[in-house]
Amino acid sequence: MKGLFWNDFYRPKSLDDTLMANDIRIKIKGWVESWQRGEVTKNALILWGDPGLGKTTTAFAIANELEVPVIEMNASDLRDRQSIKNIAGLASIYMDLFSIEKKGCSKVILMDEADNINDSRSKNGSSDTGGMNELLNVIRNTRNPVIITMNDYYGFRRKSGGSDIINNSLSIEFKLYNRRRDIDYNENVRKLRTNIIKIVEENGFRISQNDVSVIIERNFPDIRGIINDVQSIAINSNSSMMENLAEGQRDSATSIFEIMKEIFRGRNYEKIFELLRDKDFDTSDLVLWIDNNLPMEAEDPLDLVNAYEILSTADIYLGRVIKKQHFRYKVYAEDISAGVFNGISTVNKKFVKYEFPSMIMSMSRSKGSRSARKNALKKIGKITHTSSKGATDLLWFYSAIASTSKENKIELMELIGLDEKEMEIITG
Amino acid sequence: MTKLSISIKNLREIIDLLNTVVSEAKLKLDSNGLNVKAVDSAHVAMIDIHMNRESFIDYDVDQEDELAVDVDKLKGIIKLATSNDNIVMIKENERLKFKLGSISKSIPLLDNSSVLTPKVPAIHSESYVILRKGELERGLKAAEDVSDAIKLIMKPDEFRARSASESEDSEMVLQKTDLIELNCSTEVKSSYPLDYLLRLVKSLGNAEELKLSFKDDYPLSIEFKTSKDAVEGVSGFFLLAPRMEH
Repeated sequence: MKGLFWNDFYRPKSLDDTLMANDIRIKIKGWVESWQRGEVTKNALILWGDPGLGKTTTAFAIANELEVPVIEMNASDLRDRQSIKNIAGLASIYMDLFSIEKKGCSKVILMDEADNINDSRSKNGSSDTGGMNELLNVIRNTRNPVIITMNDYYGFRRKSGGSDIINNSLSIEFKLYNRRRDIDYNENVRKLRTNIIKIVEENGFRISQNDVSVIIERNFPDIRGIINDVQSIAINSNSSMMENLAEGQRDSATSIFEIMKEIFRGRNYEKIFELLRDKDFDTSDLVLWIDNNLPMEAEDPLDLVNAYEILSTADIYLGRVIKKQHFRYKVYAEDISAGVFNGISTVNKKFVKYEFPSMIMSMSRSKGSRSARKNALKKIGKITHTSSKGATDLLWFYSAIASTSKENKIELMELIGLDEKEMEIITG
Repeated sequence: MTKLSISIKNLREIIDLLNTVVSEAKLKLDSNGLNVKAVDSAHVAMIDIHMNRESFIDYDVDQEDELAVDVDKLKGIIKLATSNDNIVMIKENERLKFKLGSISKSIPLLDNSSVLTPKVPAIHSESYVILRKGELERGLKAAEDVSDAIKLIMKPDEFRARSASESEDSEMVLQKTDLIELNCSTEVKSSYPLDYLLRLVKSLGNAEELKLSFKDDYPLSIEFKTSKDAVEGVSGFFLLAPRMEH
């Protein structure tokens, strides 16, 4: 075993191992090579974009490529003028004691999550400015590569000194990979799959290509999530892989299946309640799980009718939780649904593989399009002075206009202010 | 159980030295005595301090122990002591208890895994100079406010410390006869952070002589001993990274 979490151990060590678009990789490599050759044009590299896309990982991979240590100042460090001067400033012009034999640059200075660096003027009224100006000084005078990561590039630019810092840096945006047909995407997934299989085998476990693909599909582009899933499945390899996968919440894997088994097969009220006490999912999830798996357990139609009668009573109470905002009703729903077995007279003896509620699956799959639809309706509502619900009745009209010609479609998009995804929803 | 008794003079020396570089440090205790290594967050200054077990008044350690401490908290304790006191330090659960005269006080120990002990790089340079601490301190003070860096130059017959900015400059020249020892065959020079050097020299209250060794664009090593006696007192060395020239 390589430590407790594979995630930490297998953080990509080289730029080729990190997951990013090739054009970004080429730009970053060019910057790294400029330091290796000693022909630096930009002292700093700005990596910006949403969290979790590998900006910090990339910074560490760059240091690895240069074979130098990282001097990191992140959001948990104080980053006013004085501390930036004392740490990043000092580090930027002096050699690193851990790489004294190294020619050329001697360390990478990483200013992580630079969004929150202090840029306010000091209170004593002198010309003393905050951390941003000191960072600018560091970048101007540094003899070592500086990497800055941030989420909000435009917010950073607005700060005092922000645009000067940007002008002295090479800026690269990290973007989410959504274009599934993209060559880079496929290449990255292939690379990822090979790496994951390697990780699993290095730790003495086995996993099939297909299972890896399913896990990647589910988590992409969150590599951290992918590796966590792979690790938990590999370690719990005696339990069925698909059982682990079908269940959405990572920690409750055993409990929900146990509860299903106890409700349908054990038929022991006390035991079911005991298990339900430790559950970490919602009562509505429980009802959905029973709903989805009931037809497989109750094969006699009469049993099915009776069981659904009980379950629907539970569902009524769930509805009242929302309607009356009275959360105590949840207990009724839970207790009633736990008694579903009372409706089933012939207990199923065959093996049943409990399935993840298809409703939750399809809801999560359609999440993107549902929110796009909501936004589109809101925008239409705004120009037609109706509520977004009222705008539903107008959809056919815009759809008809959009389908007449491409020009009309574009004009419509501009008029209402729709993006392509929202337009797609309207045209169907 | 770990129980140490140490003179205030020696403890103050150790804490002052650590304080020049870090805010947290891990004291390692073994059969030879105490050892602390620490590096600043910029990787520019490193310190390696040693104190023989014979220099303790009382040294009771079962084989080995590690005490991770907050240096600022230790400073607070030192301030309570009068100069002739001896301090007793006892490790109790997750705390370090101090007894000094009529006062007893305990501070929390930090998690040993959270304070890292750096690996000290192997430094080797043939040229060295041994000089009186006061002499070096004067040269450094002359350079203060001139620049952030000071350039040390060693020649076969002299040692110079020079600092220059656009409008000001300062220089100290010490001939071979002014120095205790000088071993240098060809001229070597390198620049180092002045602020660190000043703080180090100030914190070495009881050292009389310092041995400086360096070469071109290479870390500076400063060896010190706070007592003439080979066994007594605190000894060690300080490493400073050179300024990277274009």
